[in-house]
Amino acid sequence: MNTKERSPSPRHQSWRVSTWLSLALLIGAGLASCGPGNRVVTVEDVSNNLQLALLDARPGDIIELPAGTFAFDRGLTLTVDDITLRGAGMDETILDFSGQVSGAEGLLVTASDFTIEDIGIEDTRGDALKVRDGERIIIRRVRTEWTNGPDTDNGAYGIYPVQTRHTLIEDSVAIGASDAGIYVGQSENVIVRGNRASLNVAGIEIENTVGADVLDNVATDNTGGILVFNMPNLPMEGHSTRVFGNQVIGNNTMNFAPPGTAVSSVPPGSGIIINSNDGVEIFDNDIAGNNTGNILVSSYFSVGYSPREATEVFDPYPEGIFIHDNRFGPAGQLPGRPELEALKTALFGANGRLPDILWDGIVNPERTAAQPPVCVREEQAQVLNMDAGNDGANARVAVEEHACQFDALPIIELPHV
Amino acid sequence: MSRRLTGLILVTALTACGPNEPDDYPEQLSEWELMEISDGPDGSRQLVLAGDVVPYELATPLFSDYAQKLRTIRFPEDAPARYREDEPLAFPPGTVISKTFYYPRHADGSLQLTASTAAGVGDHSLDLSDTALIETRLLVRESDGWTALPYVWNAEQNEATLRIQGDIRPLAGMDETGQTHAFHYLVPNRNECGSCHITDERSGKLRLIGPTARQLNAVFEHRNGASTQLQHWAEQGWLTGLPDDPDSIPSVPVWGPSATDRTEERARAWLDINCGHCHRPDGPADNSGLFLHAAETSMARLGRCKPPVAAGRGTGGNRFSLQPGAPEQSILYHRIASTEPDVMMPELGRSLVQQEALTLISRWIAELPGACP
Repeated sequence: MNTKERSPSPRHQSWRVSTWLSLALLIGAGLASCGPGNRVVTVEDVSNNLQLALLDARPGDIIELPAGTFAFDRGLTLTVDDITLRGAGMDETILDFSGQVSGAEGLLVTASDFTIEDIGIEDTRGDALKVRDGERIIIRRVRTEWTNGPDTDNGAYGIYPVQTRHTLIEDSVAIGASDAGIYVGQSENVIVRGNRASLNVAGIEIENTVGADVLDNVATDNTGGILVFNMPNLPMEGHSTRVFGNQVIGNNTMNFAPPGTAVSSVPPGSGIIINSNDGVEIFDNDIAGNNTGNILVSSYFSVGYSPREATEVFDPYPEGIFIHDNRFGPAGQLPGRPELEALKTALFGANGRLPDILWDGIVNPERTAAQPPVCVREEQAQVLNMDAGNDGANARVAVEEHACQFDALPIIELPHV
Repeated sequence: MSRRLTGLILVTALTACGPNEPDDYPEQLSEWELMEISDGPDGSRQLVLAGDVVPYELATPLFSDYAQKLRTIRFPEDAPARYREDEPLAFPPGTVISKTFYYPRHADGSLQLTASTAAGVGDHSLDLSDTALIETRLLVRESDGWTALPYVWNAEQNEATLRIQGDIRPLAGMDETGQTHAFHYLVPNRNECGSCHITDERSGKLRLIGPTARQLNAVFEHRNGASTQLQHWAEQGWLTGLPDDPDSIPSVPVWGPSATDRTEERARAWLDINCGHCHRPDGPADNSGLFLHAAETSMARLGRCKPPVAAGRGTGGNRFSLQPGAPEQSILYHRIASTEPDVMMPELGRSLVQQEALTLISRWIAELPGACP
């Protein structure tokens, strides 16, 4: 062994002194007046300096970006808690990733107490904004967009919090994602409100998430407007989502998802889809012009979702679904799947249309509750039980058997908003 | 520091607190006194390791665009590392681990993209006459954990400078078949270091990946002969707690492009070091439900007949991570074979395909029994 004294940082002390000197010169008297408040860091030459600012950030910092379009060739990452990243507007401050050669996201945040506001993120290779494993997240007036419109080569998700807790996504815009524009995965206690999602495969998707309010959004021109899904083989199963006060209009874009993804099974023309999720309340929405159906309720095993192996603990049956007091416009006249078209023609004629609510009719064979798994309280809308478990042998319009209700789900409250 | 902050304006009108944690690490790699560039007697330039710096090798390393890696460790005085069977060895504060990424050059100056290794643990110097040094990454063990520091070599090849924001270097090289490849070499920034090395999301701390008992437990030539590195380190007093019975120490097969035996063991070793730092139950890819670390025993969690979750274009149109008998219908194979940033796996740290690994994984999947529904 050597006998030399050694510390990990050989010139630790001298370097620290020079660092403090240069910092003191740079920020002047501010250093002396240390007190409560947040440091505001304004980034110039954003393309070259934003990543450095994110690396050098201290908790509490507000990082401000000026107006302009700024190109990046690699994904950005933030791991520091309690940071606000703020631009001059979702159409004014644009992070342009069209030349990206590295990174599976545009901006990847793994931190808590993160707020992003007034920024546009364009043309990332993969996901645009991913926030993973954080609490108390705010995504406000952010636009994620693939500017070429629907394309299978676009990135998967626009706004993508996953494994988060207490998350607010509001007044944001998501366009052109080849999977979901706004995708909340494996999270708890979420509010998605006042956003606009268009030209995505799935406009807004809540997946394996517990406790979500999806309200006052506009989902239009997607393949499917708003999806509430559970997928098997994941650490958590979702339940308790309220979808209310949304405009879910004309989601008829052809499905451009990469084959093999779950949403590649979404029929074009789907308004709201519930798949394998429990405790979903859908009310006070305007749902119209969706050519397959305004609301689809299905189990994991039906409506053409590719056959998949689920773990034994996975519950594939949607239960506790309560649909009430929505306003429906014409829909279902041009189903986006051959077997649905055939069903429509058989039951309602070539010029007819499918009812507003489509249910695959597959019930857990072990279910003992007297209450049906899907309750409907609507003045006009009908339910089509597709009897998918028996190849549609007893497909029928069902009204009375869904005349029931579930208790209202609790309102989501966020501690940080 | 002042140079790094150019372009950032700290608005101090608010009652601002000064930064409380300056990055007080040397700007230049040479200040660490781990290695130096010197001229040999015949005028050739050499990278020479300091006397107290120990080179080491892993049996099956992470792929990094065919870069060769010179790995070294400097143990602090009188504070040996502690043996652990499954986790990386426990190194004491003061330990400095370095990994220098370099490419040998062909006669025409282009970079050699080759799967075979150029340096061994017996080499305490590297001939630079036909070598391009790219970067040296340090992992420094402080009292409260590891710190990652990427240093990038200059054009003169006589110094490397700390660049916490990383870099992208356009490079070109030629593989063993004579085919040329232009690619973007990624020097990871500090966060990107963490994207692999923060293997435990709950602690949020950097962890080692390579220096595990199983990776070090292979026979290598070194200055004092040939033995496993673990034995050598124990003999030198750098490692305590090594079991007396060598058979009780885990091992993985030595990576080699020409090996054809022990397909499953080599495939699992490759998956562990290339994927298992994220795809593990406490790792950042746990949301995928796909686990590829060495300790995984369930074929379902390893991906057999497992549908994707949020793979996006990464599926390549395939339904399952592993489709037994059909590598080209398996998502795992598709993502190893891709160089598109949102499709390829690992997500970071390569822009070329490791053909030898693809062959190995392909053979492994082809040999898996059964079929998916």
